[in-house]
Amino acid sequence: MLFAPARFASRRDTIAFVVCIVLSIGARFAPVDFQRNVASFMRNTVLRPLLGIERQAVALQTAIERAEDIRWQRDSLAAEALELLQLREENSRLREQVGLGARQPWGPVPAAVLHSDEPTGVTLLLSAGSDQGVRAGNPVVALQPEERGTETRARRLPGLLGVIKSTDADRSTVTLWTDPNFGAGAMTADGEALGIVRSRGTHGPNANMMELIGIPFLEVVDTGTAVVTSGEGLGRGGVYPRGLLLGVVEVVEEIEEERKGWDWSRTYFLRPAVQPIAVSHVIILTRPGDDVTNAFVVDST
Amino acid sequence: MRLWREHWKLGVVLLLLVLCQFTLRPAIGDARLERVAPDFLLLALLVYAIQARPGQGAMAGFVVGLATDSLSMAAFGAGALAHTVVGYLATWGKAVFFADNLFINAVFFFVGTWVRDIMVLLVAQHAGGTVLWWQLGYLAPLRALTTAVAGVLTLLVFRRWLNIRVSE
Repeated sequence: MLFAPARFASRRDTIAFVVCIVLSIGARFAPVDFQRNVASFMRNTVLRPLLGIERQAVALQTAIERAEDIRWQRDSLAAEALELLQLREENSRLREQVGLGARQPWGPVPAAVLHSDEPTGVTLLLSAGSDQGVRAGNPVVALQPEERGTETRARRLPGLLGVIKSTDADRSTVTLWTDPNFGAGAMTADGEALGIVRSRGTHGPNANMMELIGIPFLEVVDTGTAVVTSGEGLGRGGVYPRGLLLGVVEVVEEIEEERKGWDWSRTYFLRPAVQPIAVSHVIILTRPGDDVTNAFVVDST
Repeated sequence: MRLWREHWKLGVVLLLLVLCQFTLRPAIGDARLERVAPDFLLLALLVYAIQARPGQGAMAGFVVGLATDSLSMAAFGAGALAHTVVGYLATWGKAVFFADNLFINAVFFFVGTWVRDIMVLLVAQHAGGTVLWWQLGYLAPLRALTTAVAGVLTLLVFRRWLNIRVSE
């Protein structure tokens, strides 16, 4: 024993022990406020530097653990990047299956249909707005929901739904092709015939159909031919880029002879690529280029 | 002069143990074992008690207990009482019963920690029934074991400074 005297445990030791015991019991049964004050005094004086060290140690430990987390996240991202390659391949295959070509360079914004303006049925309220980069005049396309007995591949291609009419921060209104004032420069998918596609309106005979007018009499367009936007007038008041699917030729309606200014031309009825009433989600083309033909692989047959 | 030098060395060891309590302890311990880790403050008390008089051990225990009570505020006074008793008994036990044997020292640290935990749990009266038995029979011995291991390592590393003859 280094400090202990030869005679171990003197009366002083016993007294010290008893005093400490009494103080401990007193502390145990002291009023709560007194306990708090004593503890607070201890923490703010004797223990203060130690608590400061502890705080630094915990901060250091946290930093080390975070560094580990960051490393873990980096490794996870690397693993996900590998998965991304597989997803890209899968995405390419899926895009090909639904008729989409290369990745669109024009920043498509997906949106959900929130509300339709029944009963007129010429506008829809969408869930994306100016905060997402949507502007008035942006074309809107959609995929016709799959139906039982879908006939042609073109039927399942995204088709032109309309054009953005107005925007709010997080909502926008699209004017549908069913609007009686709708009109778009059009051509057959092979580019052989040029004309204009208009709406037949939402009421009356052949409602919710499109008509392709102005096709020269000698240019016969077969039934089932896909008709796309021609991009005519884009940049000069036109809003539709070249290559957006409008519909498929259903039947030749009439032959016009110098009627309404069309000399010896034919009018074709089109089955629209998209029926607005069936659409729940759309794609807004916020930065359409002059030609999106490559974005949609339109099968002319 | 020699006495002061021994005091200084003991002080350094105790200071290191106290620093370990506030720097090392937060970083060790497994969450699956409820972060059971060595109690370096109690270890410092026991190391001090090896070479102290009973009265000194009791007072040191009271101070250490008051510090732990101030940090936790779970049962103010319980820690002071338990550490006082352990500090006092440790000086007696070491002087009367224990030899400079490594295993005996390990048992000394183990029993000291376990007794402290038992006293705190019983005086605090926060836990009862199964929880109390879980604490007394599982967590307290586990904590005592880790403290004993840390104590043995301390003795091995600082045996010259502590002037202890350690035999296996």
